[in-house]
This record gives sequence, structure tokens and C-alpha cells, in this order.
Amino acid sequence: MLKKLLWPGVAVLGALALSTIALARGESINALWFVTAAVCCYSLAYRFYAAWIAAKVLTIDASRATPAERLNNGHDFMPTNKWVVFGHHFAAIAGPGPLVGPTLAAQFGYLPGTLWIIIGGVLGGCVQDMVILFCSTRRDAKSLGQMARDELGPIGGAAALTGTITIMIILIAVLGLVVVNAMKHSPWATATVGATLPIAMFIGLYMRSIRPGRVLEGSLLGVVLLLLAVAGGGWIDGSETLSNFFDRDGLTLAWLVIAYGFAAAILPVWLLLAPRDYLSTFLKLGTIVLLAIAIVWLRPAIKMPALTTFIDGTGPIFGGSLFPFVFITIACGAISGFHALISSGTTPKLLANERDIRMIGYGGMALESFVAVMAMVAACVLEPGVYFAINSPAGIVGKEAAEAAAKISSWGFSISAEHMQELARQMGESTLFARTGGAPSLAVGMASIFGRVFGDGLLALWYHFAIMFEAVFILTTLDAGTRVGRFMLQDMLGNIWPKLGETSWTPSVVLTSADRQRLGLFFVYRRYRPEWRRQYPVAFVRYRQPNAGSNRVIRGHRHPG
Amino acid sequence: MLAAIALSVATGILVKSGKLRQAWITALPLSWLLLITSSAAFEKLTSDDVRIGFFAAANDLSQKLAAGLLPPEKAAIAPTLIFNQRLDAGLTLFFVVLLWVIVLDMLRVCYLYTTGRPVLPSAESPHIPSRLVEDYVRD
Repeated sequence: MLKKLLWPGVAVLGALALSTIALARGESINALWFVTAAVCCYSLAYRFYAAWIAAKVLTIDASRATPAERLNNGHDFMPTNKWVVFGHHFAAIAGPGPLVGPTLAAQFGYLPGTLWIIIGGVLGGCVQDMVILFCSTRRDAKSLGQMARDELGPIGGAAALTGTITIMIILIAVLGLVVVNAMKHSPWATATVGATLPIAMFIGLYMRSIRPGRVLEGSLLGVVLLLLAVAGGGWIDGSETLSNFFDRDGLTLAWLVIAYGFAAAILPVWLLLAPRDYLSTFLKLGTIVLLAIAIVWLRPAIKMPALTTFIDGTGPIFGGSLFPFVFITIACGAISGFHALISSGTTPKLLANERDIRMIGYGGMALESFVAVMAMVAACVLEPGVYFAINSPAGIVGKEAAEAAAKISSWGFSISAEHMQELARQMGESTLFARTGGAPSLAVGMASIFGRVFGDGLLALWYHFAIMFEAVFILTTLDAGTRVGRFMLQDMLGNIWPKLGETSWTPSVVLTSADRQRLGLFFVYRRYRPEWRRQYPVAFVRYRQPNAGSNRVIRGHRHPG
Repeated sequence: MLAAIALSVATGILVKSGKLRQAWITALPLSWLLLITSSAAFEKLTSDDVRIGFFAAANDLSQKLAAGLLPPEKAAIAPTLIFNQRLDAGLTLFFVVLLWVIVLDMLRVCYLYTTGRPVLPSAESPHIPSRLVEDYVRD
């Protein structure tokens, strides 16, 4: 009886929550509705829509051997525990996109962004990830461009191969920049991210050689070590001598990230990439679940209006009207092509059984979409004045605090310079005006939610924890991206000389990884050599323009997620 | 834009495997993405607003530079920024053209298939029964 009522109940609750979000025009709406609507929509879609696609459209066949089994070579192709594959896939697709996109799009108000994340995710993004994962699994885990070549023909194939590979290079460069910037002069982030590498290699060895098959045991061990790394990072941050050691400038970090990306691309997947991504997922989802619990516990009111006046394109954070720029800004979280590259890159080479395609493809994306809703909530529980003060660039609102506060107040979002000063002091920052890019305002939002649960005294700690959390999010996207880039280049060169297309032939692996690195991360290195910027301005400009709309158009999204 | 490429490939594969009636699951999001990507690219290329249009921003900056309105530190980087705006415009155009080439090629293949004419054979690997025994210890 209870079982029969479960799904209709979920459907009614979800519809109620969604209509409350869409129709409420009162003073304020409670953040609890957002969590409810998201959870109900995703679970319904997963239970019915995804199951229907898996059974009727794709006709998943659990008795069919996957590429991981048929081509198993212990290096790239390897049947892996489904939870580890899920962790890897989620970590690789969830970059900064689902965190930053919704934060920036909140300038239009909470409504357009939230609806697009939920509807776009359920009908678009999740379906895309799942179908591409299926297609690639049935085609020896070939990359997207190669599938276009084999199925459509030489013209569409050439266009797809060129398009995907160009975008991948730009993405790796942009991600490298973002992650270097996130770790620059942040001992906590650098130490924690650094510690995840040896932990991951240890867990990889543990699950493969020391106690093979004991996934639960290895996971528990890994999570404990990871939590120690997070706490240890905080401790290092507070210590005088050690924090100096981890306080690195951009150029050093760029080299380290390049070295790491190279290692993640060529080492056996079970040793570094898969376990590191898997462990990062615990940290990511742990924090998001904690945030969701805090929202359920506190039931904070959403302070942002449903729609702001900026839907006409005059918004301070990025120019452009509601249509089409809200859909461009929130790409990851709703639908992102980067996921298709992962779904046709590393994931199908690890998948042990076709029946897990629904969980990994559809479920992984649904969770990421949930992360995006949480980011939207974190942006919208801030006072709108605070939100605009943090995110508006100085070029729009003015350099002086008083001037900026007056300008923002004139839009109808009252804010005073003193209030911002006090907030900055609580967060342990010198100022919070014009801290564009989305990450700082997300951190302030998360810190204020956690701060209300655990006490205001810890605000600065939560703020820096949130910043560190974002750095972890990005690096896992970067490493998987580099490896997928290698596969793509190998597929492409395989059309010319088949030997190079053999995924695990060592000379080809080293050559294509090095080439990939040189192209992609070279841009990052360059960013820190000012005299080069003028000659090669491509990566530089991406860094110079916090304007979300401008770059996202080109690649569909600037921050893959 | 990358998502649109992925959905085109997926739609093509679905149609080719005889799932024309269910191909809307990817064709629907694909049409929406084509609409937003193309209109956003159109705006970025043609808008007169310097905060939206790449060319508008480049021209605005070069006029200011020529008129000597910029302070010295901004004037020094202005040529780079102007070049970047034009480069971004070129890239936008390049990617949108690529996207439409793929979409049209996909539609061509679907048309050939549905009218019973020959298309490339499916690249799907043959069915081999799985012999994999899940060897994880349930602890």
C-alpha cells in the first residue's frame, strides 16, 4: 500500500514545490521548496523517464560484454566497480560550472535559472550523458568525434573531430587557469589538493593489490584519510612555517598542474585517476549534502526577487538579455557537452556492465544538476545588495566602496559600505567589493548558511573551506579532461596511421599526452609570463573577461561541469 | 555548442538504429540548443551594445584609442584586447558554422535512412556474451 502511494506522493509534492517556486510572488519564498522540487523531479525522472529510455529506446543488454571487459588491458580499459566508475564520472563532469554558472545567472532573479536547471537537466543534460555513454560503450569506447566520423560520414565527422578537439584544448587551458588561480597563495587548498594524490595512489593500490575487491574497506579508509587531509590543510594554513611552504605563486603551481595532468593522462587509470576522482566525489557530495541538510534545518528565506529588472540585458554582472543568455550562462548543471566527452572518453572504458549506464549517465548528471540548484540557493539567500556588491565589476559600479554601495542601492538593492566592510572582516578578507567570477559570492553564501548552523565565529573557516572545495571540484575535471583529450587525439590520428590509434600503445600514449599538454596547459604557463601575453593573447583574454556571456557562447560553456 | 554536436551524433545514431519514433528524446533538446546557441552567437556578432557584441567592443576600443581617450596603462593593453575581441568573434563564427555542418550532415543521413537509401553501416561492435563475474567481495 505504502509502496503504491510512494511515487504518486513524490509527484504531487514535486509539482507543488515547483509551482510554489514558479508562482510565488509574495514577500519571500523559502529555500526548502527548492530542495524539495529538485529532489522530487530528479528522483521521478530517474525512476520513470530514465528507466523507459534504458529499456525501450537504448535496449540495454546486461549480458553483453562491454569494451572494458573485451579490451581489458589493465591500463586504460578495465572493468571497475560501478561505484568507483560513478565517482570518477561524477567528479570528472562536475567542474566549476554547476557552482559558478547559477551564481552568475542569479542576476536575473532566482526563477529563470532554477527552472532551466531542473527542466534542462531532466530532459536535456541527463539524457545526453546517458545516450552518449551508451553509444560509446557499444562502439569500443570511441570518442564523440570518431563516432560522428563512423556513423555520419567524412564531412560531419571532420567537423565534429575539429570542433571537439579545439574546444577541449580551450577548456583545458581555461580550467588550468581557474584551478591555478584558486590555489594561488592559498596554503589550505594547495596542501589538501596535494595530499589527495598520494592518498589516491595508495587507495588505488589497496583495491587492486593489497586487498583486491574490498571496495567498501578501501573507500572508508580513503574517506578518513581525505578528511584528515582537509583538516590537516586547515592546520597548515594556521601554522606559520608550513603555510609558507605551501604558499606558492601562479607560475610554480602552473608547472605542478601541468606535471599532474601529464601523470593522470598516462599512468594506468586504476592507479591515480579513478581513485582520486572517486575520493573527491565523497568530499564534493558530502559538502553538498551537508548544505542541503543545513537548508532543510534552517529553512532560510530566499531574498532575491523571482525576476530582476536586469532581464532586459542591462545586468551589471554580464551583459545580455534573459533570452538567450541565461541558457548560455547555466550550461553545466542543465546540459553540457563536456559531459559527452567524458561519457565517450574515460567512463565507457571502465564500465563493467551496460545495466549501470542509467545510474552513471543519468544519475550522475541528475546529481550534478542538484549541485547547481544548491549553488543557486546559496546565491539567493544572500541579501541581493550583498550579492551584487560582490559580483559587479569595478568598471560598472566604481572603485570606491561608498560609490559602489550608492550605485547598487540606486538599483533598489540597498547596501551600505559599512555592512560590506563588516562582512569582509567576518570572512577574513580585506574587501568583498567587486570579487567577480562567482566563486567568492558562492563561498560567502555557503559560509553564511553553515555559519548559522555552527555559529558565526566560524564564518572565516567556512569561507575558506568553500574556496578550497571549489579548487577540488576543478582539478578532477582537468585531469580527466587531459586523459580524454589524449583519447580524442589518438582516435583522430588513428584515421591517418592506425598504430597511433591503439589506445594503450605506449609511444602513442606518451606522444599524444605530451602534445595535448603542450597545447592545452601551455596556455596556462603562458598566462604567468606577462611578456608572452601580447604574442599569444588567446588564453589571456579569457582570464581578463569575467563576463560570462561573452566566452560561453563560443564553446557553449566556459566552465565545464 | 558542444552539447549540440553530441546530441546531433546521438540523434543520428538513434535514427539509424531504427528508433525514429523515439529519436525526439535527443532531437527535442537539440532543437532548443540550436535555437539558443545560434541566437546568442548572432547577438554576440551583430549587437551594437559594447558589452555584448564582439565587434562593437573592438570598434569602440579602437575609436577611443585613436582619439587618445584612454589612460596610458589601458592604452598599452588596448591593441591586445581589440585583437582578442576580433579573435573571439572569429571563433564564434567558426564554431557555429561547424555545428550547422554537423547538424545538416546528420539530417542528410537521417533522410537517406528513412527513405531507404544506403547509409554507412552501424559501427556497433558485435554482441559478445559477458563472462565477467563480479569479483568484489561484499563486505
